[in-house]
Amino acid sequence: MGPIIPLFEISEEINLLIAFLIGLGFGFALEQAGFSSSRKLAGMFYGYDITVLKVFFTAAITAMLGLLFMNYLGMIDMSIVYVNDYFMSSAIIGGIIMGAGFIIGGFCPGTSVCAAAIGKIDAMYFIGGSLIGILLFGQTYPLWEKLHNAQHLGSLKLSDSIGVSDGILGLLVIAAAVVMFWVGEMAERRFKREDINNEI
Amino acid sequence: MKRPYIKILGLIVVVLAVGLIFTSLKSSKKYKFNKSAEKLHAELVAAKHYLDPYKALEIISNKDENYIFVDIRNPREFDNFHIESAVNVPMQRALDEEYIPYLKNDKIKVLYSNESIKADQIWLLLTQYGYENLYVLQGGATYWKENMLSKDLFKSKSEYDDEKLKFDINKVKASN
Amino acid sequence: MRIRFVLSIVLVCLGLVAAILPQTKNSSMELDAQQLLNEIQLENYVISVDEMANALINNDPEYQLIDLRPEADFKAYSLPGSLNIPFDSLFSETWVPYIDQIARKNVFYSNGTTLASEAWMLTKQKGYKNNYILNGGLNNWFATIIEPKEPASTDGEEAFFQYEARLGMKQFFTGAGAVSSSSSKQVKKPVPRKKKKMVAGGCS
Repeated sequence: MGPIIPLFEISEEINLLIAFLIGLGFGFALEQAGFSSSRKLAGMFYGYDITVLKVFFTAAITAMLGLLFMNYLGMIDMSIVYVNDYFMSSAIIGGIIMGAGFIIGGFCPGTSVCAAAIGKIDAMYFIGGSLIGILLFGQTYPLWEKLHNAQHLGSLKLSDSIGVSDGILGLLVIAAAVVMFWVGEMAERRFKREDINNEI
Repeated sequence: MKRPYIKILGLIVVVLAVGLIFTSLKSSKKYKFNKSAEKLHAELVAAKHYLDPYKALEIISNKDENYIFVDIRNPREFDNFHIESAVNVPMQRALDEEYIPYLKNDKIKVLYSNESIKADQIWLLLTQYGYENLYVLQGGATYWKENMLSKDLFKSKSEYDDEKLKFDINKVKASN
Repeated sequence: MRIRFVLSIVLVCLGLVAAILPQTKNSSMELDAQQLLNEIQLENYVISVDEMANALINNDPEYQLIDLRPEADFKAYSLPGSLNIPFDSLFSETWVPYIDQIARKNVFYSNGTTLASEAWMLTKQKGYKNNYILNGGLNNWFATIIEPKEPASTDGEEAFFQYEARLGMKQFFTGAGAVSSSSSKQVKKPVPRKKKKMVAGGCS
């Protein structure tokens, strides 16, 4: 059966069209999960709403299981699937900045576009702010260049760095996710804020 | 919904069933290689599959039954000239069913072409595909026709080895 | 509450199945025997020594020469700009990024053509692209470029032009024998053969 859609066999335009359709699906899924509400998103950090955790982990688990099973059936070739390069310091610092922005603004970059699409003004300001941040980063890049490229670990997969196979890592992630879901539910009961939970 | 979890279980069972159906549809490539490229590489480094034409001449004069000479060129060239007692397996059809008995047997098969390059490539292909007891005649039909049919056998012994450097490097550098 | 239990158990079961599955290495890029046989017969992967010499003189960045001989031979003499990958370490980790890439065209060469075509077969079967062979290897290089054969006086004009070009290339690569125009042999124009008149008379 071979790879489902080998990328070099379809034209550039079809490639972009498929990406566009997948994007439509993504936006639809985010909106259905309620992610255009900043109160729901910030609830992850205050403890009264763990929808973010559930959505992200179930998405990761679905994709991971899908890839593992399809690799076994020969429908996808895992050895040619692209794995991002890993720059450790950039990942940590960027993560801290994004986390701070998430709590303060109540959106993350993807959901802010989602919310702006349905007309929320604070989401539009959020997008404007992120664009200004990108511009500043680009203009002052020589200052950050060394930090940006530090600790380049290549296309590292978590399974390779721990030393287990992909399947066992999948089991570990699923076990961790299930534990986190249960703990999160307990936290929800403890930190609940009726005034917000009744509105979102 | 009274029993929603039954619906979810049902959905997952359906997904798994579809996946199992896909497994049975998984088509294997018809001409799959039996050896990996790395294993073949190790065999090539050992380089034990070459047969020099003088040993080949001995084999033919002794009418050794264990050896077959396999000409992989096209039938026209075969009719024009071939080593005596050789059989013709044109390389374009080397994987066809009709030639399997020529290649799949206990005898030692010596492949040859005009030079030794094509024979070497076909040797690689067939060995990786799974055939055994294959050798390559160094020098090929050209060297055989020019040197092995006459009585004067002992001139230019090293020229049938394609990989021997034929020029003196120091001479080249000294001409500067 | 029940649905949560069910979902957790289902997820963990799927995880167990995934953990048990053997991690098969998919070889979708590799060729099978029939495909490789077709590729062999196309013969579009051979580069002539003249073409390679031209590319080297023009500093064409498209080609990357790869010397497959052992290191000692490489140090004794090698083509300019070539990289040494000894044949027995062709698949080692250090060299895979050089042979599995799509930026430049790799041209394998060795003393003759056998080793180069073996390397080409192996890399082609693995699915690497952009690998070529130098026709005849170093033996052909010496015979054609470094010591070009003078064409016989009955050969056509083209042979003489090619000979002149090769003399120029020889000068480029060895820096020897700068040939001044006066001492070069005059290119003889081939004398058109007089058409023999049909033998008239006699038995027809």
